[in-house]
Amino acid sequence: MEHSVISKLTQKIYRYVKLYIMSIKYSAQVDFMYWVNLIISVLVEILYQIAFFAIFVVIMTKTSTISGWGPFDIMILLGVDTITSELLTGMVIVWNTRELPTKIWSGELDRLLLRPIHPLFTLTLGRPYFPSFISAIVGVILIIIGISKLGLVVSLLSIVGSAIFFVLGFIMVYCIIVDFSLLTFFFQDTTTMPRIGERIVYSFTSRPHTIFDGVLKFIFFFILPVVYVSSFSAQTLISGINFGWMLVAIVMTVISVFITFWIWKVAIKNYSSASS
Amino acid sequence: MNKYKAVIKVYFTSAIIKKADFLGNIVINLIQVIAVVLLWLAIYDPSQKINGYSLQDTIVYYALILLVTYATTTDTSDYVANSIKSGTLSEWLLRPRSILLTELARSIGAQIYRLMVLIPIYLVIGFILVSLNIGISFSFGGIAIGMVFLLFGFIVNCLLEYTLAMFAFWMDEVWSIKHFKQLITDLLGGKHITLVFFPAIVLSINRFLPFQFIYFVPLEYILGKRQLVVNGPSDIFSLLIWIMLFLAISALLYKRGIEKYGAFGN
Repeated sequence: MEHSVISKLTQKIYRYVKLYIMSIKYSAQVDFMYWVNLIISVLVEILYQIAFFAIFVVIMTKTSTISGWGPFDIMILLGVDTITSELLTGMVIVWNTRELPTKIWSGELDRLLLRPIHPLFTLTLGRPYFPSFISAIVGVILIIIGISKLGLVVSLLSIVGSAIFFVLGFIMVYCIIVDFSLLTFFFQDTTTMPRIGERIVYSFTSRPHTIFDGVLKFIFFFILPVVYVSSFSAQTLISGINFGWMLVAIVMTVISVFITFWIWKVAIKNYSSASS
Repeated sequence: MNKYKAVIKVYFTSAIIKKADFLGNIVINLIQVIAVVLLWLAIYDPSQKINGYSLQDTIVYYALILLVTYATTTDTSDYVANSIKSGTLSEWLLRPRSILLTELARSIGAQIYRLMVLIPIYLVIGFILVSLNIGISFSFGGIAIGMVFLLFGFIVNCLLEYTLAMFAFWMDEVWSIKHFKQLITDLLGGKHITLVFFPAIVLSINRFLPFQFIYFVPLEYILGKRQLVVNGPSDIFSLLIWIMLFLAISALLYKRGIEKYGAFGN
């Protein structure tokens, strides 16, 4: 019985991964057809990351550490965060959550509900924005430079641990963005709901988790769990795995996913076609 | 003049209708401000001053950024570029109005509502901060001069956006240029980080660029870090040069572009 549930779940996940890879391929084909637009889009994304990095360079000229993080620790953190923000932009935001209000008002959602795929998948991951996947390379470069400048020898265990934190954290921030986007079902006279979730994630994932204390620590570790994806991943690369926090991250991920599906169920009940 | 007043009125009403979007945008900008303030709280030693900015000054600077952003931000490039792209510019051409002045009037109409909501909120917050006696003070003169420079900042930003929109006569999409402009403006204008923290070489180049007038200069006047007697003449001179330059470039681009425009869109 248990075996059949796991097998069904694995098959389902495999089906969605296959579908997602097909979407990326299709998106890449379309973008390569308009290659000038693609180059400009990638350049703009890279420049955006460079500008963001420049802000931290300026800050680091005024201080030697930020809550215990040195300049090259921060560089690794920014590297991981560049990958986070670019992947979020490409996978979830540009053509998906940002378009959600329009899809609800125009009634396009009706059509999506009829497809044999979970509508949440179609609405939040259905159409990737390919240039962001290319721009994520900047993040990898920053991580490599940071590690080499610190003279770190990163163990395989740290890499795996960092990757686990990244995946769990990514699911959590995805849930935050989707949760806020789904509020569009309830507040129909605004298009800003998806952007509120985005802004929370973009603004706080790049901060070292050690800057949060007291109430803020509770908020950003447990209510809006933004600290795991970039900060904990970077810290794991720098100083090894903290198994206690990894366990917390696993629990928080499960809770986040459940909350998102619950909001979805309530939201879709509230939906009444194009007139919603 | 009456026709432009009518445009201001129409877009003021339209801004009132979209109040939920406006409130949502305030939340978005507030989140950004909180994130930056938290970072500076982690960096600053409370007794430390960085290039003349104490922790209080820095926090007030970022708190005011929200007001300045709303006062000087405009979507002129999107609006004008879309009308060129879609062909709706033809309707504008038939009307007895200057496209640039109509666009300015449209932006002012939307801006008035935003400021009507934000300024009272800021006055209350400012009054509370000053009453708390935590080393924050404002002068009426500084605020008044800052407001005048805010108006100039808005005009410079509007003209910059209008100039960029002219590229829509030749390009399919101007969003990438607009995106890039926003990036540079936010960075070199002092939205993300107070300009005094930048290295001297960047500052000396930035002095000759228009971006600082959009956020940094008005804020410095409001905070009393800039004096009209000392900095005013050079600031006003630079502003006028940039305004004339943008007017000249946009007029030239418009003249060339309109010859190419096919009225069915670009």
